[in-house]
Amino acid sequence: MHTKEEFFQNIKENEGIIYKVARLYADSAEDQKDVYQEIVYQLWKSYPSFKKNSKISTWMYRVALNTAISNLKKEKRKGIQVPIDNSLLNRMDEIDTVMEEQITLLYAHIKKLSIVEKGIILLHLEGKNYDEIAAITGFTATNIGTRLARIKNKLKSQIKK
Amino acid sequence: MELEEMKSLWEDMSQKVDQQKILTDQLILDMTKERFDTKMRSISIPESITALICFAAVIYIISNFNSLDIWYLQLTGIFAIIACLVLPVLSLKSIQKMKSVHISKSTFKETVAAYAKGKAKFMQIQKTSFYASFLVLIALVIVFGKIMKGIDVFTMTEKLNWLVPSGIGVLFIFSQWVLKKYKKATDSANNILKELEE
Repeated sequence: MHTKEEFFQNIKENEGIIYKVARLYADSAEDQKDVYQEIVYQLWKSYPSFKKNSKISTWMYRVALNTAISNLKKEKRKGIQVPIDNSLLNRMDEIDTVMEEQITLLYAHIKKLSIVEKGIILLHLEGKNYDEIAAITGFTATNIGTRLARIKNKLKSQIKK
Repeated sequence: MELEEMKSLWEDMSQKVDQQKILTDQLILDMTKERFDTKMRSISIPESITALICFAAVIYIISNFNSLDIWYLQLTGIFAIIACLVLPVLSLKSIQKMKSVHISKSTFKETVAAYAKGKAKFMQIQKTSFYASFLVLIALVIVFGKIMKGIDVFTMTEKLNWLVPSGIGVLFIFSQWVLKKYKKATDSANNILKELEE
């Protein structure tokens, strides 16, 4: 049985996932807010169908990534946004400006990748192993290995430029 | 920045983000409620207005159908009625289909494939609607011209001499732009699908 309190608790415990995915797949602050809210809404809508045989974070990565992809180029149909606190998105600059600069640079490199590659590298950076990435993405673990090697090479040459 | 540096920077960021705990129950509740209401509104308003205009046009043409006294005007009237009934339904159906991706059940790979296919399909619908709207517009001008002013556009040969070529010219210019957009969207969708198969 899923309760509302349980949902709130799970979302709050894993709110970092929403922030990182929204920032990766949307460029402007306004679009990031829109994706952030859409992810929260889709999580709420899909929560009753969440089977507890997988980790909540695995399910959240899947819903968040799928929502971000489905939300691409939907600016024209953008809904009204709840005036959410800017601190939901500007988390770094309040703590460390140097770190925020580095993070912005890191995101800039990752954003140059394709939509598929972005998702895979995000899960890799999140510390997921090949099997976990395969479970979330639907690719095979071997294929993830090949793709990650290619992504790393791409990033290497991008950074060198 | 080296790849290892990237990873440790990402870990630092994750730790800081996880410590912050900014979301509250009330904020989650407000976001989901607002989103739900917005979705209800955004689905109904534009499509409903278009459908209402089309159905009003159909009722107007049917109730004045006896003004269309020549076979080609009647044929144009029937075409306008069918188009005004079918086009809004097709548009609503295609929007419904685009919204039918199962966010929580599909894998990332399936969602990306659905996104790419949806993008190509949407452009195809846009392209078809562009040509269909042009034909409907011509039909409506002919039908309304006869019903409202008693003018049979087909007999106005002098005006048709410049109206037809300029109409074709406008259609040609716009269709080039539509086709260019269509090709760009289709190419990008095909690239995504190809990448998924690698």
